[in-house]
Amino acid sequence: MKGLAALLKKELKEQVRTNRIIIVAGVFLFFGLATPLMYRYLPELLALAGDDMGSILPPPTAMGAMAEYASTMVQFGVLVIVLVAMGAISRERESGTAALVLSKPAGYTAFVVAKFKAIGATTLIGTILGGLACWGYTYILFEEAPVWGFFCQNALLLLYLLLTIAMTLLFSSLFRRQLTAGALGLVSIIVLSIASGLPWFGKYLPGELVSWGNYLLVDEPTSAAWGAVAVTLVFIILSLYLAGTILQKKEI
Amino acid sequence: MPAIRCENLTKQYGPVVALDHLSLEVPTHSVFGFLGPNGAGKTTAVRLFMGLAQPSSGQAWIDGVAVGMPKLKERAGYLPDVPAFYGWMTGREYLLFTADLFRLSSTVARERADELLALVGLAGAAKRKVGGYSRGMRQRLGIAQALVNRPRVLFLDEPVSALDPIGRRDVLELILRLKDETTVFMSTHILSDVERVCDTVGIINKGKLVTVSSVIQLQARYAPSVFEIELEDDPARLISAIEPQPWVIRAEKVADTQMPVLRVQVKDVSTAKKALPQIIATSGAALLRYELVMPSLEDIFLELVGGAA
Repeated sequence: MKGLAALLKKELKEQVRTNRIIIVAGVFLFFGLATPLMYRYLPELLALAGDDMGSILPPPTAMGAMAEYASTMVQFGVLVIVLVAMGAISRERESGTAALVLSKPAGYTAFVVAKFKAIGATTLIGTILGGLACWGYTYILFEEAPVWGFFCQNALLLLYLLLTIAMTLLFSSLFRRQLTAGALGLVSIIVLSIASGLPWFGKYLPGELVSWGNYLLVDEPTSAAWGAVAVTLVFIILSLYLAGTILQKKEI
Repeated sequence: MPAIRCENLTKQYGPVVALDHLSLEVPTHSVFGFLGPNGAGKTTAVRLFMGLAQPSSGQAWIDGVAVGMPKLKERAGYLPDVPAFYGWMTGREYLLFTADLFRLSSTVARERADELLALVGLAGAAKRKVGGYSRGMRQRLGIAQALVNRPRVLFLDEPVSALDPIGRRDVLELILRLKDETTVFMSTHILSDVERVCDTVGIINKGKLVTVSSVIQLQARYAPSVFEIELEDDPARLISAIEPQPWVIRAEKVADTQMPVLRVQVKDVSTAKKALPQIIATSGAALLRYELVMPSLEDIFLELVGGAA
């Protein structure tokens, strides 16, 4: 992968200079803080609003708050990541910046992988900040918060988001319009997550990471979804490889 | 070994043939002007040479390296017709990033960046964001980034079209100076630039190479010689006397001057030199000026591309 170091340095700088890192970290932090709070006071809020739904809801727990955070991030985290990644390649092709860079000793795969690593780093920082905020706030509100289970759940969430980045980058190299790339990235990750509900092979699909994470959080016995982890890693590598290969064949 | 060689290089976009069997050889340390009207296939050719598009058929070699080989990118420099940069970077940062891609050490990279910024007249704007650069400044930065690796072959796609007259003169002078260390392949639709800096010119129209020749040879070979005759009165009578002569191609009145000027294109200059003054004398017209003018590249160009420009 020619020029990877130089490209990565540039991509990381870009994440900072164009405020992408602040936006992503901000979204994760917001949900990290807001989810436990909303979850803790939802019954009371409903009661105040004159709705007696509050009395039917199960009493809020730390586990519940954390599970709620994870399921929120599977939706909003994915959305934010798709928005950040969708234009990464298509916009560079459209504007002509890719033509200058790729006429230098910079490999096509390196070009893609550098973007994956940089957006991945931003996502990692977001996940850590959001996770810490959620854990801390849950601890304050409920006076308990599991550490290991929550850590495992967030690690699986991160892996799921990394797959989102890789797949969106694949579509971003395929299409010149970033909206098309974003829409297809989003649709494909949703399809994959729905497909994980299918019998026998569903448990090997990336969507299984999310439900395994939920089991790990509440420390309930379940069969480990290492198969899904392996499949997700293969999907990531395959997406990046394909993105590089497609880019090489495309008009830059 | 020629610096650039291509054989039957063709690029098709659906039914459109953007480049049609281009075969070409450009000798080392020369400035080659690739001349053609807009949409003739100049940019397509340059992009094929740089590996940014794949040819439909044909092959090309740059400095002996087949196009598409990674090694080529180490040896070539490229300025696209509209260079695009990352707006959040400063001009100097962009050059350092480029140097980084060529794996120059940071000390060498800094020296090279500052040297190039001074060369293209951007030293004062080095620390400003490229997003705020004017079109001309971007063009200058584009030239600087193409030179970072001291390329053996330099591709410049319309290098001066976005520049004002002073910037244009500077860049053309720079291209002439670069000739000692590199081969320059410059595409343009501006004829006077070619006349000023190019040793050889290739004229392309509708994807097809029409001719390749030195500027001087081209003038000698293609354009008929022209006599300009300025008279005190209307040249209509004289035109009717000249036109039937067998050595004449065309005789016409040029409208945009105060005095009526008659332009006579001839096939056979030596016959015309003797016969033309006689005809003028016989016609009794009052002669103010009589001149044999060298054909301009523009005349040749228009003749070759059939007025398409």
